[in-house]
Amino acid sequence: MTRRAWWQRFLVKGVFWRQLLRWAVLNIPPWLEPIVIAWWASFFLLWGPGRRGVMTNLTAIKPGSSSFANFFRTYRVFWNYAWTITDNARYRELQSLPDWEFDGFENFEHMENREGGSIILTAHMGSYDLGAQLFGETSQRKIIMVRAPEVDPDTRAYEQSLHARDVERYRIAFNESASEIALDLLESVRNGEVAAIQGDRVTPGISPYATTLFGRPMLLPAGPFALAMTARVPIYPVFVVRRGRRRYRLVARTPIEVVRRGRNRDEDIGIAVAQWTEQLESVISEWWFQWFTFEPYSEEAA
Amino acid sequence: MRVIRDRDEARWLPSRHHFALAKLIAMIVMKPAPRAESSIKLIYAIDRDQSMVENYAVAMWLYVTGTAYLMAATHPAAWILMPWLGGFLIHAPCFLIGWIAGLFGAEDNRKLNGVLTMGMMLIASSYFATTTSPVRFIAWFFLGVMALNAIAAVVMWMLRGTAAAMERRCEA
Repeated sequence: MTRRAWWQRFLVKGVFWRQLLRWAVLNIPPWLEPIVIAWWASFFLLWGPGRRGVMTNLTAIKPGSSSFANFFRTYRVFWNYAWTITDNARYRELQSLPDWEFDGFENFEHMENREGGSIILTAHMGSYDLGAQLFGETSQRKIIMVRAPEVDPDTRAYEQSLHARDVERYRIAFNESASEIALDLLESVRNGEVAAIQGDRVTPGISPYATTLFGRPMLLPAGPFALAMTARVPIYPVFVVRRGRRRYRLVARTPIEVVRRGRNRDEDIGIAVAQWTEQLESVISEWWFQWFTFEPYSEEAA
Repeated sequence: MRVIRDRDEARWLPSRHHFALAKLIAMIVMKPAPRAESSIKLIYAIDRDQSMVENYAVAMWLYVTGTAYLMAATHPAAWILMPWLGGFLIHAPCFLIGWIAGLFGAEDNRKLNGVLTMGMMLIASSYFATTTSPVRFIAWFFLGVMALNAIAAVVMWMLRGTAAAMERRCEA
């Protein structure tokens, strides 16, 4: 095994920044945080690929927008991202909860009271982790969070060591192998558990479904829809959006039923995918500054 | 951590604020309200650093004060960099203090860094208040707010029973 160069920990996805964030949460007085976050968000604007990725996505979300305006919008995305990961780190280290608002509480209750498991489909918005933690504390059901493994091996090991602490509240499954995770999730959902899956990006090894978002081609994961069809459970679109400093809104939308209507399974999945992309578009249009997708979403599909 | 559900007035609870002056203002602003009957359910966390208004106000105040001091202490040619550099230099001492405290095994150094940051600002303000440059007005304002906060701390101590009653009303 080759030894990694020392400087790789300082790359943008390297472990140094995660450790620095944890350290900052334990060392910076809360009333200095706005200055610290404003400064570091401006520092991370130097990250060219991430900045260009967000700016490219903004041209699709806001047609006709200028590069000048999108540069400042990108800063707003970075600012919100910095707050979100800070709130998440603060919860992990200090158990500090933010304020919460529940929008669409009836959908949340429906999921909680129905017999059998269910699937939560969400996006890289607001604090996905914080939402799962809240769910783990307020719900009677066990939740399994499916997430993409970190690219950097040191960061992956660091994140996994942190998640090991939360094992009592919720379980995390890393979608490294599509076939293994599918069987695991199917069993869990059939046992009445809730699987929370990010439905706005495809990671390597995961089967994609080609669709469009804001008129541009995009690949979405087919897995959650196939799982819902096989397990005969509904999909609940849930989004966690940041409303301000230490304040989040959990938006639970009307469930999507994935029903097998005919012989063509892909066609049936396509109906559910269309409903999901409609929800996704409406939420991203409203909360574009919290869609933390730092790569151009349509590049692969295009 | 304590939480209060569906009581919008809870956002103004003194216990959700850090500084005595902010606690006192919150107490004056807070008005009794019935339990919210809305489709949006609310959960308020009771934490002394929860107030958005207070934290943004303090951060902006310290940023403006600190940047003004840096500008007063440097050559005008460097002023163009100060709005950005000031943002870093204001929190930079926390890195050093946190690192030193870490050598002695301390992990959570927020309070130590808070006290020392305010202490350094107080020393800087005392110095700039004695100068003849326009920055002295900012320095006097800083010292004035600190004095007001000290008075508010005494008032809050006298009103501690009322503050506790507000907490109980929200939790009921």
